[in-house]
Amino acid sequence: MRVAIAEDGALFREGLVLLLEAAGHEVVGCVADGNALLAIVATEPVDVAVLDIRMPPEPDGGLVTAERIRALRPDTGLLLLSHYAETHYLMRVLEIGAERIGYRLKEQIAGVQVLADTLDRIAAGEIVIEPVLAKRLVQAPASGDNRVGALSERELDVLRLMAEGRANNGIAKELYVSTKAVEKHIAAIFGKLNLPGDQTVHHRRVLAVLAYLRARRVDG
Amino acid sequence: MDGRARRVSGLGAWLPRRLRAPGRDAVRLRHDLEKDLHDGAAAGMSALALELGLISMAADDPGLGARIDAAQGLLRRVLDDLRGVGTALYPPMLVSGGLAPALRTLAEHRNLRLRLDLPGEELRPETRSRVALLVADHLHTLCAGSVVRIRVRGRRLIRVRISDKPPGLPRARQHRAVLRCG
Repeated sequence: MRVAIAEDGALFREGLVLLLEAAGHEVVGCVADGNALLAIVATEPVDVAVLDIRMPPEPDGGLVTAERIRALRPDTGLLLLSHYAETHYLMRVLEIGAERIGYRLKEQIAGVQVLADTLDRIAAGEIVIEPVLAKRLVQAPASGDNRVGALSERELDVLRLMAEGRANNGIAKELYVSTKAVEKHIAAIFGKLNLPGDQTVHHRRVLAVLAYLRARRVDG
Repeated sequence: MDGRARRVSGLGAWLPRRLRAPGRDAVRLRHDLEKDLHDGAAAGMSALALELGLISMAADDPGLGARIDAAQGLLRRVLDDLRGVGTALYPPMLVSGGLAPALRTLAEHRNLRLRLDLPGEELRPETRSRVALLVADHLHTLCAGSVVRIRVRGRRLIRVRISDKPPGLPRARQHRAVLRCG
């Protein structure tokens, strides 16, 4: 995979290059700000661009640059990294796109396997959402709406993995069950939560789940 | 203290309490400290996590691999603590999102149910920071499950009202603050 990086922290940037190369990827560009990354993407074929959210142009150069890259090269995958896993950033990321895009905590991708899995899923068209954030959204106490409380233990696991953006086969692999069983759980979840939308279109399903989880905790 | 004095004193607990907003210098200092924490210690530890990931690849000994995994786990916990300190110093979403996202993010982390009633027009950056830190500092004192209502009004003279009702208490507690800006 051809990867380009924009990160203003020199130590993290250099470490990321080494880890990507160790995982067998080709790093076609490695820069300290969003504008320089945009210049690379404009001239070089890039499969996935990796961007630090909080970098020049300040304050959130990574988000602004990701928006520009998506407009310029819609097929280029985007992985946004941050020190903070926040719903506000997640919503900004989803405004940029709901396919071929990811948002993860920096320290959580510090392993070859997890980094490769994240990049593979983005390149395959999925949304990848930081599991720490997905877990927080699912566990949040409901503001009057307690339909999540009606879900079984296994359905809660499936809901959390859906909120991470995982596809059916990814959920099945994670829970050691068949994809048929996953489909059954998802249908039950959609029924119990009364969620609209087409469960078979992956990114619409993720968006429906995230919208529901957000809405149940936003009061004002 | 006789019975009447005790009753009056008990009622006093429900009267609005005065909160004080941090001054301009304190706001600037807290902002700079959070930035230093983010760009310094947190950035260094994230880089260290990557370095451990690389070392882990080269480790053939399963015992050593397990120790590296444990070290990475410890590093993640330390980074979590740093995030908590950074957020308490100066909510990071205040810079990128503004007052409402900063307070909603904080409420999400502390499992508070928040109702916001903010002015239609965005406050000036300095005023916004002072209001945000005043409210954020109060939110940090509340227990999970509390219902919090925040109302902010004014332009030069900003009036902040906070009412919070912790679970189990019969009625909400009231807090007030006034900030002179400009």
